[in-house]
Amino acid sequence: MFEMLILLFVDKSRPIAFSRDSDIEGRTLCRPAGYFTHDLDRADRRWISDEKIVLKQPVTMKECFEMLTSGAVDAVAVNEFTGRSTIKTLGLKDQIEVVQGRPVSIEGLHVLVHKEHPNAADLIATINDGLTAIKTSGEYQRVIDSHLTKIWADF
Amino acid sequence: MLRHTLLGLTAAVSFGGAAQACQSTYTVVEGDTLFTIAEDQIGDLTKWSLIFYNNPALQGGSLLEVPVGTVLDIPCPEGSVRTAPDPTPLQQADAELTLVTASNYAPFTDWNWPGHGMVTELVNAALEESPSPVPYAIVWEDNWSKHLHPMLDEKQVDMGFPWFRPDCENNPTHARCVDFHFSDPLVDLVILLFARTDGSMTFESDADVIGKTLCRPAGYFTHDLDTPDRPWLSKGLITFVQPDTPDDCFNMLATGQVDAVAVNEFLGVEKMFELGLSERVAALQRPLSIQGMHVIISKKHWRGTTHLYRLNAGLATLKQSDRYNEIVSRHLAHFWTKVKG
Repeated sequence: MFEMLILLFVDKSRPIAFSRDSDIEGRTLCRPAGYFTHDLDRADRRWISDEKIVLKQPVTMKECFEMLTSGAVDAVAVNEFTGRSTIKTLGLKDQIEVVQGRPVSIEGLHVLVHKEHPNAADLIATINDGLTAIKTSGEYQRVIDSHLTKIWADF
Repeated sequence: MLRHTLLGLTAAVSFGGAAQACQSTYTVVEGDTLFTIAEDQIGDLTKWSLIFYNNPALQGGSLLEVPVGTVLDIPCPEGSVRTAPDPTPLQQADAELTLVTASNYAPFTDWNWPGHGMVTELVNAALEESPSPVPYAIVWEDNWSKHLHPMLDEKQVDMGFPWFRPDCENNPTHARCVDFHFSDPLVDLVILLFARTDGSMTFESDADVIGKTLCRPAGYFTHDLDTPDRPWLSKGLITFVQPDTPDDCFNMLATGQVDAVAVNEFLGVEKMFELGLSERVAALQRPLSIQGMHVIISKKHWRGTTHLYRLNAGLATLKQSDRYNEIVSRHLAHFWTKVKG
């Protein structure tokens, strides 16, 4: 239902080049606990299983950015919207930059239901039907428009 | 400084396809400019832009100061490149991803130009080179004023090309900066001053333009004539005339009503020949500005930055390959052959 870039945010005084996966080996990344990690550890990128990176997982996003500015981590790996809004809230705009070149990953946002849930198929069908309906009616676009207009204007 | 690192080097020393067989390289030495290199390597000083467009790593840099040691691709002589456009395997009428352009902008986008234009072919190639490429469709709407609003704004189409990027850093409230994301430049376009050959107008530095009368058709961008270090319009340092058409500008130039016409190289050269002014009018060597041509997408698109990343990644790969040069050379050769009729 929505797609976004997962980017690396770094301290301007300690920039990182990221043009290939090997550039990240040996780095310490931060992503809050509870966030997905599948993009950091997949068949063609075993950063965590092969201990190529150190991943810090504090409780909040704010802590990740504080660890970044204090030098405890090399980069915060988070989606562009959450990253940019946290930077703005914390007033770190002049101190932090996005690593240009490439994102860590591209992630789609989905609704999920446990496969063993007795009504799994019905629930997913309800969501998908509703999604199709709001896309057809224009409601989906109105919601996206109002949020993204505000988001980019704030950045 | 160079916007891209000189990754074109690998392309320059490798052996490309048959179309590239005549392509040679030249290593820049002290004192070279693109003008002197064009004269030595192509035998025609006025063809410096052929070298410029064939070396994407140069674009965004200074034409007069090419770093010593830079290895440049020297394009094939006219007529020696193949003329057939590239196939477009990913284009499908009912594809989920759609792009919009218009067919009146040769040699960049034009339905009747080979491959539908140079920029169209660069967009095709960049999409093919992108990570996990997807099918796409190109929609042709010849009224440019419909592209930004409503087509792109209301997501009737996903992306549009080619568009110039205003100076968003100094002018963040410009509507186009507020509403759209811009890709990396597909190609940088050289904007030149066309003047009478009687020597009444020179352009060695910006100071030479103060007090002069410049012409550019109405509706064209003007941001390159009014920048923080060149406040020509806002401080009234030049007289600026904007008639309806490029033909009007060139006719005013011929009759002495304006001192120079400020348009892109291709449009200027085409009009110069078409109106029979090639003896009386010439392009002044120093570029007025360099303007990147971009793909744009609405900031309100649900895949705005992700679509743009895929395109940019494909474009970066393309610029490192022989295919970029091959496309550009082919279109420029066709252009020069055509204008000289």
